[in-house]
Amino acid sequence: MPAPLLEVQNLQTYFYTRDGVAKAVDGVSFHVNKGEVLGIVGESGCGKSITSLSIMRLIPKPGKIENGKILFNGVNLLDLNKAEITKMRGQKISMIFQQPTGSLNPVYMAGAQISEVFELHKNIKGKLGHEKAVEMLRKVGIPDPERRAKAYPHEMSGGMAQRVMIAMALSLQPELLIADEPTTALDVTIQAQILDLMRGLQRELGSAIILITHDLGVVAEMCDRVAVMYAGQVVEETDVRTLFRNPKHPYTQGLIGSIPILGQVKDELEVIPGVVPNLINLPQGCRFAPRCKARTEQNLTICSEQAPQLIQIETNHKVRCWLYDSANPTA
Amino acid sequence: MTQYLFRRILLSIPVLFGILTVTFFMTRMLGDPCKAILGEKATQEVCDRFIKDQGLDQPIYTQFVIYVKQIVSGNFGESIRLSRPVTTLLLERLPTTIELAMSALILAVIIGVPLGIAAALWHNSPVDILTTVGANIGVSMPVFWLGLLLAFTFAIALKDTPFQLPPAARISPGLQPVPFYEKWGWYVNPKDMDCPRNDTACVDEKSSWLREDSALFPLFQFIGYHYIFNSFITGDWKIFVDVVKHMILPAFTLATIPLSVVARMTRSSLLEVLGKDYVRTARAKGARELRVVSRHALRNALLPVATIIGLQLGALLSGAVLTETTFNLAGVGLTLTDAIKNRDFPIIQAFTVVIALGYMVVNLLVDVSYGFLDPRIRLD
Repeated sequence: MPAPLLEVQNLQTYFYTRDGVAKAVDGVSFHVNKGEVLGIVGESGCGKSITSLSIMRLIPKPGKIENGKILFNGVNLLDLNKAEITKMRGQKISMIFQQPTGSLNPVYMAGAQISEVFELHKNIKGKLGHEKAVEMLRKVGIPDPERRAKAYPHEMSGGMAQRVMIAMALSLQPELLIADEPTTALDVTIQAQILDLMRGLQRELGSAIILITHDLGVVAEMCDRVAVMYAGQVVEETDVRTLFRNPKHPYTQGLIGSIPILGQVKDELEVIPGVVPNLINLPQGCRFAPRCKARTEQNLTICSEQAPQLIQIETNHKVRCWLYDSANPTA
Repeated sequence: MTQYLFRRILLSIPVLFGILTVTFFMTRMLGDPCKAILGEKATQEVCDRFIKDQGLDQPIYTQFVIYVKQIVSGNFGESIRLSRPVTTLLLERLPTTIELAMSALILAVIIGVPLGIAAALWHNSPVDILTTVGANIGVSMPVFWLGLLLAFTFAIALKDTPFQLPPAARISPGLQPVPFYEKWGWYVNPKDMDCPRNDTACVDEKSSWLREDSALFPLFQFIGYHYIFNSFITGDWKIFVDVVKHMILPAFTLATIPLSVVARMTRSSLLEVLGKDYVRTARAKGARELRVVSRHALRNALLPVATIIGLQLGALLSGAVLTETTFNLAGVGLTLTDAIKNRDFPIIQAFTVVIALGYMVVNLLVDVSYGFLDPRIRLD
């Protein structure tokens, strides 16, 4: 098997707040192969975005990457100095965000914001830079790109702005694109268009994508493999088919069970009871234990005493749950 | 754009007329100018004649109509006390205030903005705390008190050191700046002509194209009275250094409040902008920190600062009254306070209108410049 493009090992990103240390990302490991789409799913506050910002080394204060390795083509990104990581951003690894209109600078024209990428990394300026920007706008399917290049973000719809963001992110054909909830702020028809566009360009350019979302529909549509996160940890990682056909972790089962199915009449949607634990004051043992149906059904005591490890149960299928752990003394 | 400017200028006419009306009637409530000007011992007869001479015996609305007619023809009347045309006084004294306000504004911006930026970039550091505390002190310090303190420090405590600074007046006694139009030979002073009295042919021969009776001459005079500017463009460095030295203490005194306001505004605005999504985008596309701050954050952060600067210019004009009094600078503020004390109606009216006009011009400039800075409110 060839070496993965990106390998995150035991990543720990903590936030030092006045109330205590919030372990937003606590021991996350996963990998992304060249040209594949990895989905990271989970509820709000489970550490998806912080994981992606950690890869870019864009963690805002008072956050800090405490531990771990982020190997990109074999190079640990956490060992790079400021100048080296700055060179990576936008060129080898790009990122697009949830709020497209807010992510574009309101005082610069769309074209100028795209051509800045060429200026920063390739020293292409002026007219040629502008032409390249227009070309990118055409590539992301913006009608009348010459005119749109001169538009300001406030003159654009959300979908249009997200296309501009994608154009900007893919300008230099990065090897990895991190898309942090790229369609959440858009309405459904635009969502589909943006996803189509991303998939098309991904095939064309061969970039790998980390797609962060809480929308399992988007995952089913787009991803090759999926990592499910809960309270700062990966709880299950497998390919997308297995995830939907044979979810192992009780949390994943709950998530999939809560999807309403078209045509099926239910009085109530399935829900996972309880709320996401406070990241400053995490429960002892398995973080999902207080909400876990399997734990109560099977009457497992170890869950609230000892934290489970992420173990491989099949090729390409890892789960963090005592139910499947051979080290479980009660199993 | 032109349409917008035209509309704004048109709209300013009723505002100016309103100010004119209010000041006209309010000055008439100040009381009898006779006793204030001729002294408490002036007899009733003398006063009656004085009032009649000044036209103050007419019914008030008649006075108002006469006054408005005068203004429309560009005549602001004559000072009751100084017996000089108000226009001439304005020409002489407005430049002092303009130079004072501009110096203070420049100080406020070149010190206040960098301080605010430093405080925001090193948030919660000693720089930030010092700036915030300093700005709070600066805002709350009474202008005249600070002025006196500075005057004491630099004129008395530091006397005979290189740091000594003059505490009063605009220029050292004995120095006489030569206006640029005279220096450059555009105008020849009649004193330098050596012509016999009433020899108009001689005067005509020796005069340059600019003469005292030219319509544009007051404008040239007005520009020439900006001593700092005038000595700078004519390269008269001795006078330049002298007038700048005279301006340092008053300008600093006047600048404290706007400086503090600008620093605080820059700090909070930049702090807010640095947390915005587009700043994260700039970082994510591989811009260096310096570029992120200077190109992406500052441009946005300075928008509210521009508004504040415009508003502060208005405050500078009122602050000028106190500063000019403290440092004995014959500018608009000092002239106006003197005029109020002496019930010199024409001066009060004209100078108030000029201050209001200045305020309006500055606000218009700020509004227009805002359109250039922020595409979201561009005026098409």
